[in-house]
Amino acid sequence: MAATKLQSNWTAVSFDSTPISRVTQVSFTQGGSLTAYAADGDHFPTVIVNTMSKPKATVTSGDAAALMAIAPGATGTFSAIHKDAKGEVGGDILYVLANAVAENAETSGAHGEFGTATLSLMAYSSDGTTNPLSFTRA
Amino acid sequence: MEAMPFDALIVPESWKTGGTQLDRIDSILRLAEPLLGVDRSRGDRAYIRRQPGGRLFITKDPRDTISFPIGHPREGRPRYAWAASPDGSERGTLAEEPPHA
Repeated sequence: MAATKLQSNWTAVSFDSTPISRVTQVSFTQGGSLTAYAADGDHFPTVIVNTMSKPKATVTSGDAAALMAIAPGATGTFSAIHKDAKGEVGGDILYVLANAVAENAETSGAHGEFGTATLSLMAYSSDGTTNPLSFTRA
Repeated sequence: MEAMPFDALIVPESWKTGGTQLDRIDSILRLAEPLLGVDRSRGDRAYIRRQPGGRLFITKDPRDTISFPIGHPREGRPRYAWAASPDGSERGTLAEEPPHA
């Protein structure tokens, strides 16, 4: 069967070679931001430029202990595969955030619900030029 | 004699085609993976990064960098010797084997 070209569920999620299981949510953001310029009698920006991008990722898991064990500042590669919606071969997308730095881990749980933890990560560029966020077909 | 694959590619982002994210990724991988010598049966992949200016930087290792990393003796200098192709892409050969960032 051909790939559905729809993604559903995550697998092979890991940070610094440590697998993260019981994953319910992953997000990657390009982290783009804009700087607007205005001067003199301007009431609106006359120039808007993407001067900086700060790629980020978050992962939410039911394995709160695993995420809470990651200390802020810990650095490694974060990767995750967004699976084809029907599990068809060739339909998975692999995201890799190189030089990912753990920013924060927090855990919560409502009464009568499963507890979860969320880890947020930022990434730096080793040379200041190369985007640390890459993707490919898994 | 088979040509040696390249170590890196830079292609215009406008080369992406297709209506879905997977289509657009595949449209780039179809041309990039043969040029990089990717052998998926051995676990190789071509990793795509969006760069400023509408360019895509593609290599077989997601940790590769365009320039030598900060702190390296050759910090800021290009890691690759780039050759411009008539189709608008650039094909890079490692200037030397550097340590990973």
